[in-house]
Amino acid sequence: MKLGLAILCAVLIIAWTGPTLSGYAFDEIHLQLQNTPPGAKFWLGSDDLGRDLFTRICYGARISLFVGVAAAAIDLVIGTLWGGVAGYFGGRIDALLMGIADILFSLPYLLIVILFLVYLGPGMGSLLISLSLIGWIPMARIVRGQVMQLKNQEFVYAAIAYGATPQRILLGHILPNALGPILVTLTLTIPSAIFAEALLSFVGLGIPPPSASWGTLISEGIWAMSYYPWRLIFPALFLIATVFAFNRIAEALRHAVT
Amino acid sequence: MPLLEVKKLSIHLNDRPIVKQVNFELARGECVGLVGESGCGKSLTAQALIYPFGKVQGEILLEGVDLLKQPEAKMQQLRRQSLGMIYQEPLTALNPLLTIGRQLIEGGRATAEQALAFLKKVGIPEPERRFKQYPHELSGGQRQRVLLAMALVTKPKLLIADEPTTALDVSLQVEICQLLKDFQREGLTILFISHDLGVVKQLCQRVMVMQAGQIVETAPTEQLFKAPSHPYTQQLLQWTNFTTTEPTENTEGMHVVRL
Repeated sequence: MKLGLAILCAVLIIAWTGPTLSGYAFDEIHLQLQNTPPGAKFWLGSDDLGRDLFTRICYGARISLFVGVAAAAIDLVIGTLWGGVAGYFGGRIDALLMGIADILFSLPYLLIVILFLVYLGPGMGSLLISLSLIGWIPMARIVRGQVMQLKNQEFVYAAIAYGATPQRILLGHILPNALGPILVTLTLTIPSAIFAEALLSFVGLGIPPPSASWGTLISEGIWAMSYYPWRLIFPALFLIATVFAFNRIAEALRHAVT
Repeated sequence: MPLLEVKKLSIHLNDRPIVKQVNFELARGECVGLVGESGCGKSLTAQALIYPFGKVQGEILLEGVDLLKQPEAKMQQLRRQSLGMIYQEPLTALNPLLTIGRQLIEGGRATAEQALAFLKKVGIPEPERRFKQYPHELSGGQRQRVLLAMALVTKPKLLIADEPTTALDVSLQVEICQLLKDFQREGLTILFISHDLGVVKQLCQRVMVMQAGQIVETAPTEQLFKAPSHPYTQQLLQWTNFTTTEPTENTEGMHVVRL
């Protein structure tokens, strides 16, 4: 937990203060200084247009982390509502809602996401929409399972017996008690969304240039791998460290709540 | 008019009849025991008074109002005002994430002052401190008292007690029974469900014996323990080691236990 939080904090601080410290803009081009190795002028080197890689990684962090957190938040809201309603009311409502989820989930994930991105055109909004299209289903399943288990607990019966409304029972009694597993799923959703974004950027469906996410930087770095390895290594390191940190936190949370 | 009248109550679970054509009445201020072995339908009957579970037929009249025909909103109000329920296992009947005080005043059922006064009334020491604590910080007996306070803080007319003493040790059983008696003296009507005939004998004026979903015998407590008329009741008393004969002189006031 501590290691994960430390890494995450470090990445956040670097991403926040980095551009000020380096003194470059993320799209500032120095045509005479293409592919400069890491050094005093460009701390982590420059790319094929002479842009400072460190600054671009910092901006990439903002995009990647934003995508991760926003996608997880959308998953949380849709998944909790969907799974909560299905689990609480059960019966036909449950069969219908989870049937829809099962059908969506059986579609090939990457194919659907790519199709949607191509249809909507690249950009932050369409990226989030296509990532959340299927991403909420694991959350809905977790919440449904938890709700089904909790709604047969005596304190829920007690709440009913004391005249609580269904909304109050679901929001006040059931969901708070399911918070642990929800939180774990949430922290696992963030790194997988970051990865998905990197993957989509890698195949050219991510955030359009000149802004760059880590995925875009890595995919640009691949082509220069043999001659200018820093252009691949540094963005990849940031991505790996962040995903590692989130996974560590999720693992620690899982231990804490179960 | 009796406070509660149950007429031809039948409950089916998965198309299997569990409770069959049950009829009974509760007069105001009465404490009536409902006894029977596990699975005979006594809890389901009690549950039906508050929150119908399964397919329920018949009539449940609370002061002449049929609970089974009320719309859900009206039922929520009735549950809040006229009915109270306490459960067997007080730990699972309290939300582990809310403080005692928060649960007592939940949904505007009572003000904080009323809740505190009630905690005092059910015999919880240092109610101010308990008010801010979570269920896991209390002992079993205290939790059951809290549950009792939760059920009674709205001053309901009828308390349904679903085996409230089963999870407690003997001395606590006596204390909870004493509390229930005190509340009964203040006019509370109690439907007391138990399979512990000893507790029922202490507490109830009348006993209904349930077997396989039917009430097979209803009698005043004394009469039931002295001269049970139904073979199942006789057997039940035998199984629970109560003598069915008159107590001898030197064991006045005690149960003769056959070991």
